[in-house]
Amino acid sequence: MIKVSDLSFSYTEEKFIQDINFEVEKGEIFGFLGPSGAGKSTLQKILTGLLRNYEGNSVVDGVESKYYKRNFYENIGVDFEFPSLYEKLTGRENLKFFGSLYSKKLRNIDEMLKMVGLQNDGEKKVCDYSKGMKSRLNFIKALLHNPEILFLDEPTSGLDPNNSRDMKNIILEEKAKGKTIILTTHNMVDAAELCDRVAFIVDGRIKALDSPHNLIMSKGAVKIKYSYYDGIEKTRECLLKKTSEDYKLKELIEKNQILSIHSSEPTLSDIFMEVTGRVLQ
Amino acid sequence: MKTYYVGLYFSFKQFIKQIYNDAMIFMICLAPILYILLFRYGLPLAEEISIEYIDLKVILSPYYLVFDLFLAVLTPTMFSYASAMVILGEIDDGITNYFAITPVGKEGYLISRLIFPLLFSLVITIIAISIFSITKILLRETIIISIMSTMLGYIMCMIVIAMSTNKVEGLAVMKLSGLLLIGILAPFFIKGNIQYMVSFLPSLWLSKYAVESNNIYLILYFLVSTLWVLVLNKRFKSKLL
Ligand SMILES: Nc1ncnc2c1ncn2[C@@H]1O[C@H](COP(=O)(O)OP(=O)(O)OP(=O)(O)O)[C@@H](O)[C@H]1O
Ligand SMILES: [Mg+2]
Repeated sequence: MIKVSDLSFSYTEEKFIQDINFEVEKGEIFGFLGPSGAGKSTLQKILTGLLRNYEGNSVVDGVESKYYKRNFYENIGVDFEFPSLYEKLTGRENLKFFGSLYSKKLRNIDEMLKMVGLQNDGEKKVCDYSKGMKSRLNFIKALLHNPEILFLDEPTSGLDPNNSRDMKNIILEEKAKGKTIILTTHNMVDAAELCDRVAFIVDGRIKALDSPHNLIMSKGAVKIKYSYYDGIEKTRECLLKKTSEDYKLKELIEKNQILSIHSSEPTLSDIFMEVTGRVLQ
Repeated sequence: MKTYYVGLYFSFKQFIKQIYNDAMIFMICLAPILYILLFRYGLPLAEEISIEYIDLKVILSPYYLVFDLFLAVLTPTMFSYASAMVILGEIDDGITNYFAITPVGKEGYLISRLIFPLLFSLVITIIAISIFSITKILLRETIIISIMSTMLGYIMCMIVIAMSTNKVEGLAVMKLSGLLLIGILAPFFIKGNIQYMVSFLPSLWLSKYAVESNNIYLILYFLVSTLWVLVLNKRFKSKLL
């Protein structure tokens, strides 16, 4: 569905986006992960045809991004990182208006409002919405014309856990319908849950690209942590693969002196730090 | 393809709706009507009433063309201000950029926000001059002057958008930019070559052309106007991208 090869781009003289290569299959959720200023939104702007003076190739649904025609956008839905809504119109009026720009049959507005818990706010003006309400309205605005490809730029940022959960479920539903989704996020937990594959982006380059599972398995090592009593309670750690080399552990097991023992898998955050040397959030 | 025009229609409808719902912008659009009422009907009345004391008609008749020229530039200017204010509001709300990823596109957005209103004001200006002008202006001149004033309207719109980042600033720039119309007065009130002090104003050449119908002024008008467009273009575009 999406094929990017040797893509580079810069806003100024200085090189920014460089050597970007990846492919996204139909029905896949592909994540862009990276610290602030890494170029995630910039990459999305290239893919959606907003920035057209790039080098290399960015082909979406068989069309080079530079050469998108108007009709192309019938099948693209974009949730930008900042809301783009008429503040003086109601939520419903906003959806109606943006829907009218498409020739496709629209989804039911009431159902969509309900999906994100705005069923009682459709007649309120957007300027009276909270930040999270605006995010949710902005999100369903991108789904309204039932696009085949979705670009979501930090859709869950600023949402409470419940709303965030709802939104993630909607994203998974869209995937189940065969939609292709590019998801930008800072949130490693969301990324690990939603994305089939993720690209770690730092300073305009992809530092790693694989499924969250593979990244965790290949790069990270499972640790075990155990505690025991020695005057006071003490804890120690060792790698799961090297338990036989840990004589303290052996000794404790033989004497039945272990108070607690846990194994812990590394999180995507740990892997991100290991690969890129940067901390997220 | 057909759907594109439907999208354009809805985009334009949304534009009109915003004007209608904003009292200030709505008043701006009504200004040409107020002007017509005041000068086309108020002026002869004033002349009639005053005739016993002073002959206002004699005093004012050399300046009738000034009234007509303001009649010509008022509609494009006011409609352009309305466009600019709506666009500034939409830039604020992030709407302008969003259009770029819809089938209507940035281009369709600009057509519905700039081209349609300008064409509309061109037609209205031609009609307004034909019906309401005090001096007799020939059809050929009427059309040329209307095209000139429409172009002036476009420049006014560019100025407001290029020089301001929100509606409040836009309003201030709008009031200031009204000064660019004083070139219309120069040929009537400033005798001799001093009037060319305001050569950089397109409105001077519009006025000169209306007074003398000399094509050289037409050419100068388009040269000076094009210069304004070129100077403003970069800032104007950067606001819309
Ligand atoms: N229009 C622009 N002109 C010049 N530089 C820009 C422009 N837009 C973005 N940049 C720069 O490009 C860099 C990357 O910005 P981008 O928005 O792609 O980051 P991001 O990864 O999406 O960050 P965040 O997580 O904060 O959203 C930043 O340094 C930013 O200053
Ligand atoms: Mg971003």
